[in-house]
Amino acid sequence: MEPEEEDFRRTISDTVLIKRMLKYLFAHKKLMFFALVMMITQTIFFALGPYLIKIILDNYIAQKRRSEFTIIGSVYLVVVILRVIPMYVQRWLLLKAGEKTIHNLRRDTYEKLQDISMEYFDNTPVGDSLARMTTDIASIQPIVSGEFLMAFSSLFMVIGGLIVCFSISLPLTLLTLSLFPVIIIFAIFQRRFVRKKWDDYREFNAKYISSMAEEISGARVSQSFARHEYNRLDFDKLNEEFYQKGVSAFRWSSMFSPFYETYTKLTIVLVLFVGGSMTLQTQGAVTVGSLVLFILYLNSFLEPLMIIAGLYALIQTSFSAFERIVILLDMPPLITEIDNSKPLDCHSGKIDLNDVTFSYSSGEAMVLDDFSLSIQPNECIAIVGETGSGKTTIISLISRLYDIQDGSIQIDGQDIRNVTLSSLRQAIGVVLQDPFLFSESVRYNLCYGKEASNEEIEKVLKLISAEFVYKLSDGLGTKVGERGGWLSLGQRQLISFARALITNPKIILLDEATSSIDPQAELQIQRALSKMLENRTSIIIAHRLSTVRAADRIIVLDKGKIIEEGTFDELLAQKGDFYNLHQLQFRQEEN
Amino acid sequence: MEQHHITRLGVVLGQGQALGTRIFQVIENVPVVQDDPNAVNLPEDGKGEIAFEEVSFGYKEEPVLENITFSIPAGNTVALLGGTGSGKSSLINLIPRFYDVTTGTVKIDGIDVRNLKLESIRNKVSFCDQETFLFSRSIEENIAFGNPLATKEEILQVAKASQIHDFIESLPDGYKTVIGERGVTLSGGQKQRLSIARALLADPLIIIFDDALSSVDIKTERKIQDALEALLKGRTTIFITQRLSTIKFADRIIIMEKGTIAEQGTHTDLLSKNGIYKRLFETQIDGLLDLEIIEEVEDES
Repeated sequence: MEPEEEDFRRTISDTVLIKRMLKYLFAHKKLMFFALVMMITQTIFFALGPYLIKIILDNYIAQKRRSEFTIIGSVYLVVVILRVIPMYVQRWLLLKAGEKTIHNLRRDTYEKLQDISMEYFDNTPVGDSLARMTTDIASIQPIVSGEFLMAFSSLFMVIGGLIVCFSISLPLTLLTLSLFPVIIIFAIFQRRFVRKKWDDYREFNAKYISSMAEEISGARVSQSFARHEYNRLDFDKLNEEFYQKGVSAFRWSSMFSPFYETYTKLTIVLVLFVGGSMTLQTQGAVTVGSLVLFILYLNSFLEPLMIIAGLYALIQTSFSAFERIVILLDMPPLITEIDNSKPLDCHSGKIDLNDVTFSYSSGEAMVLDDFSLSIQPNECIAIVGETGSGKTTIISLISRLYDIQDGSIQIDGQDIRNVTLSSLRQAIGVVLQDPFLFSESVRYNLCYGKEASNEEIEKVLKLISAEFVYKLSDGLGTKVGERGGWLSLGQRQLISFARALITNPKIILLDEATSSIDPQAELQIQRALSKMLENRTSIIIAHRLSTVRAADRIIVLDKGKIIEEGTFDELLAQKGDFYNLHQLQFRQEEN
Repeated sequence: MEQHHITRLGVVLGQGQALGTRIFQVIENVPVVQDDPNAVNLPEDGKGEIAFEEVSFGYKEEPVLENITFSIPAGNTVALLGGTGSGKSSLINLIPRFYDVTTGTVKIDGIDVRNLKLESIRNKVSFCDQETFLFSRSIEENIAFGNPLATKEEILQVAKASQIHDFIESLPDGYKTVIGERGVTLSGGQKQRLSIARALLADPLIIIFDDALSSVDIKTERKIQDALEALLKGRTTIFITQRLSTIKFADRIIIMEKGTIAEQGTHTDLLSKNGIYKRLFETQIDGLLDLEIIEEVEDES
């Protein structure tokens, strides 16, 4: 198993998770401080209530002081009403802090996905990241939106209640506490069983989302192969398993509320029984009033205790999700900038690959093994070779989408690992094989790498004869649909060409992008490219004779090795592999 | 505990209503393309004849195809050529009823596709798209996607014909290799070859290649074409292509321009017409066309 997979499966202790969650919650200090103040106020008012009742019982009702009864009754009423205000404010503040936490978590996971290396995307289904960013975050909402913080106010109440209980009756309090270990044992049991179930559930949720994301993206394939019935069977299986996992997790979780309910009620029964016989002993140790008071405080102490315990159960479900988020957040970006990395100074565009060794993941076959290539400023290199010979890999490595295992890649004498990623990628214009457009306007897509004026855009579009853009229904403002699906592939390619040129890069990397453009459009692009490649260093993966001929140097690649290199005429004269390839692929009428 | 209070019911109901609306929008969405109540299956002994009769079509009122009429006799091969945005892809989308025509009719074996059961059409029409979508399942399952009951031998046969067998064997888990896992990423050409294998295994009457060889190098393309020749026998085949090398296969060539058929006929017909095809042909010869292929085409016609 690769290290990053291990990372992905590793578990994080609850202590660490709680610390991380608190860090998020307390990012809003003012908010939290105010909430804390409200909590304490609420607790004080809360604690005052039962005490007033005791006074009413013992001092007024028992002594039949009817005339002063209205006054003390009104005091009680005011206390109860005043208690509600901090309760509301505190709850509102906590919910706000919770929503902010969710907001920040979304932001952090998003930023993580922006920085994370290609290797992560190669190895992780889209749905898994989607699940972490959406449903996993959503399922921690209940705990961060108040519940987690309610535990704090509950903690205050438990401590406050305990102190009062001790002052009323030591033996009764000790009796109550003697039942306490039961809860602890139960909580440990709960942690062990429930958490595992919820981990399974959340993992399956990600699997479900991945599967659905793929199902939707592949709808055209499914429909064209009439997969309806088979897909339904597959889905039923998936859905059934999802259901079972949910049921099994809830079967355990549901046990807790009834358990704690039983526990608290049993405690009260015990206190009533023991305390009741204590009042009957008439030695004046315990009055009926203080017994009632004790039970009232016991309630206000057991109830928050139940909230904490209930929260612990809730935490299990949410922490399964939170753990998945933290794991994503803690993933080291495999492509990192070194400390004090400088912006790339790409003045001439010289590229050197020195003894480069690379494979996509450890244990897999080397794509490049001890590969060296030096490209002069403004040189145009054409790479020729069969599918899988490593052409695309070379391009990915120069823009540092992956890091090499051995050797070095330098641009104008600077190791690409020592320069900032943004400066590196700004210096390189890449046209990918599959032009990916975003579901925004044409303009948005053209300016994806750099904001440009209408004049600049027009200049580039003209250069590559992509003026068709202006004939679209809304011109530059035309929406292109998801992945550019409302445009034809040829149009998408033209736009991706323009997108690469608009940043005015010193280096251009072109990956087979010309293969699907119709001949007329391609001729236009060939002409435009030759203009654009002036004063730029370029590497082009091409199947086209015209491209190969125009190149300053051709490299024939086979299984990650250069088997031939030279100019078009030199290679033909050699009568080697290129000659054979040319015979098969490029032979044409010399006119 | 507070969450048990009945007063929360209002809040919960409000949330539920908002979520429920979104879910029911999906559930109650009526598919635009669906089976007619009296829809029939394609006859068992179907031949795969395709006919377009005065077909017009557009997305969102923007006309894409106008008054298209042509027919492809069963078992014939047609090459569909045309520039970016000429309507080629829209045209073939109408055959398996991914969309319905605005006016006119599309017929398979003389039956309007709107009177056929969708499943029955799609079982008989296979697609190889420009951009291949593969599922993150094993290579074996991907090839057998349209025919999950296929035997291992059948899978091997189509993989070999698509020139992808050797590559699959070179992977650590061979045919069991799961796509997308542990960095198993395929190049555009490899994906396209898998999609050809997948389409062949579905054993269709009609097979459509939508620029399906564009990312395959010409050497491999030729190998695939040689192998395809036998496998495509008896199937009606449409090639959308930018490469004239593919026309070697075609009984007839249709050239699209701005949503209409600009020219159609055999290679010789079209060359003698001195029109778009001739210009296209000359452009490509100027560029890259393989001399041998031209010779072969000329010999055949």
